Amino acid sequence: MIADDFFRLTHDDTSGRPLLAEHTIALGLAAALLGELLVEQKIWVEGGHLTVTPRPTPPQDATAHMVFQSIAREPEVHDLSTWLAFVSVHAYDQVAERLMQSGELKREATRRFLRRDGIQYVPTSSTRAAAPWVMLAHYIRHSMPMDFEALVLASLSDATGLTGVVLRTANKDELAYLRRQLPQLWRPMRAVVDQVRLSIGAAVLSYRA
Amino acid sequence: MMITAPRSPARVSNVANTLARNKLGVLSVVFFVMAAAAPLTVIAGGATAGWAITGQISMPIAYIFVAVILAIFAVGFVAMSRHVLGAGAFYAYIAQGLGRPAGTGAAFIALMAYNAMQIGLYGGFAVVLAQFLDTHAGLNVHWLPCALVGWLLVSIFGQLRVDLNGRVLAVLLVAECAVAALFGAVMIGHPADGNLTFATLNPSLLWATGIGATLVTAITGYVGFESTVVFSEETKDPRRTVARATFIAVGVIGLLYGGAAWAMSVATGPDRIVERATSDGTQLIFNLASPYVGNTIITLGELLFITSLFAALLAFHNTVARYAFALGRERVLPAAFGRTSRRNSAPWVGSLAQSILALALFVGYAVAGADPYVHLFFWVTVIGGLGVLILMVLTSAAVVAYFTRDARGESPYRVFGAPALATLVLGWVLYTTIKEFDILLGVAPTDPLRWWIPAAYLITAVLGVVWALALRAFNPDVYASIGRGANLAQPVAAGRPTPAHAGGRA
Repeated sequence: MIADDFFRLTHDDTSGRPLLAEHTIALGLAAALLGELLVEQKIWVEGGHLTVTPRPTPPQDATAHMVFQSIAREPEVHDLSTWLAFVSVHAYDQVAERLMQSGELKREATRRFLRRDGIQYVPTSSTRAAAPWVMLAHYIRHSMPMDFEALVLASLSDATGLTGVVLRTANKDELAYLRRQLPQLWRPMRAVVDQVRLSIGAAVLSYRA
Repeated sequence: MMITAPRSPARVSNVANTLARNKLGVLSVVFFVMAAAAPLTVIAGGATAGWAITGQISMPIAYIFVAVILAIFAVGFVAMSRHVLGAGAFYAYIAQGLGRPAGTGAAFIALMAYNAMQIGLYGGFAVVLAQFLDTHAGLNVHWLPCALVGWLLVSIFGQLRVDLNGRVLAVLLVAECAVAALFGAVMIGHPADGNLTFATLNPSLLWATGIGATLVTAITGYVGFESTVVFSEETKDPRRTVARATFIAVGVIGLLYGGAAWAMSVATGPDRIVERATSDGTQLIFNLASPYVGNTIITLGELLFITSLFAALLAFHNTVARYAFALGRERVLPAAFGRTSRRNSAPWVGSLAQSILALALFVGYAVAGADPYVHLFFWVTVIGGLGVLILMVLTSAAVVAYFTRDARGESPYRVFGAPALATLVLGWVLYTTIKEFDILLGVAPTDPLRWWIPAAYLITAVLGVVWALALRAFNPDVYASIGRGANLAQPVAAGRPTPAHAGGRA
């Protein structure tokens, strides 16, 4: 699942410490959750608006189902930025819950100085937690054509400023290869990622990040 | 933007409800912008310096008159905020109304003006803090270390993205207003020679020589009110909240500034206000009130003066950092300015650049032995005020130009009448200010500084225009995005998903 992989990417694979601001991670996870529905053709993005596709079957996964239901039940049509903001409200907890259910994360109380939230999700297996960046590193090291999921993760990393962290060992050529790949992302998904970039900027400008 | 779908009109929008929980009401927006305008800073610092340096008695009527002009200005400004998004409001509006070269010129002016506001405030902060330490702790400290303390805190807060918490600001602001109101009442209750005079509120002063100097000083006190529009997307009711907050802020600030300034002139007598402002400086309001209120209240007032200056320093530091961020994202400035800190989303490059610039400037002042109160606090903040005045003239004109093409459902009064009037009146204020710039600075009419400072804005604006034209020639993509705002949605692809499109995943 894309959102699971983005969660893994945005947290330290051993300690589970978040690598980005919470608000930024939440927006990225929201985009990934929407991406999961988009690629299954449950929802559709057009002209900056998000709609449910005609007669879709509800998704199998419980989390995806929850997100899908909130879109399907909504009486009003909203633009992408509104949906991202909405989904991002619960995205963090939803994805963490999904990873806990699969036994990949465990919840731990943290007692760190000046930290608002006392909860941290710690990976049970750092090999699994590190898998997405290992995959991305592999793609770019061998200049392999990236599949949809890898491209989404690479694009979201680029939009959230994560690339420099997760691929810090990558050399110049590898990063240049990565940048060349990004425009290959399927266009509706690219619209979602672009909106993530814009929403992050808007949050900084309106003092709400 | 929401379009009501006919599917099930009775059902409540879960999305709207959930997002509304995080949205701002009128009061939050008012508190935020008033804290940046920092009432005590203006009343105890700006008004007093205005009297002392310009030698004009007209500060009180100037504050009231400026509130009226800004209210007229706000009509079109707020209307524009409903149609053009973008946090660098002035420059985004000017780019949309008067074209991208003018917008870029305005962006450069804004960077200079807000930097001047912020850096000048270090002078005020340092002088007031040094004086406080002297009076209450018997410490004789030079102003430079005091400025450095403020600078260090502002720089750290800027990097860590610590915006003063809304509740802290609200408490400080209410306390500031209460102290100002109390002092005002006490001063009005004890007029000089026992007679209550309205001489400094006489509207005929508005036509006297030297009014340009007091008007721009007054405008400087209001800078920050324009940031209400930054919150347009964050408010419960974007159409009304921002408008109400703006008018309330301008109204409350106007009454407070005008009333407190008038009260001070009542307490000294209008004929002695300039003399007392010169001799007592930032202590004037406290000296005038101290015979009638307890020492604790006076000390509290002095402390609030310091926190008010600090809040303003931080607010303008953040304004500059975010302006640079917006310009960096649009690639008008180097893209590095558009970067944010990974951990806390602080626009750290702009913040760092502002800190370095401020440090260089006020250390330069200290080395040159310039006066921190007159030459740094007053001169540099009114230079900032002058820049904002230029931006407001251009913005009003931009509002008229923007809506001339299409009124977009706004009433003619809002988008033509009011902004056209604002352009004329603000244009007159600008003309008078520049004509009497020597009075504003308190220098001889032949002093070259009186021309150099306004010319600096002209040069800055020309550089901006030239830069925009260079972008148009060499980087049309960047040129096209000028003033579109960082949160403008990009065009979205059409077409249906197919497994082939979706890549290996599907």
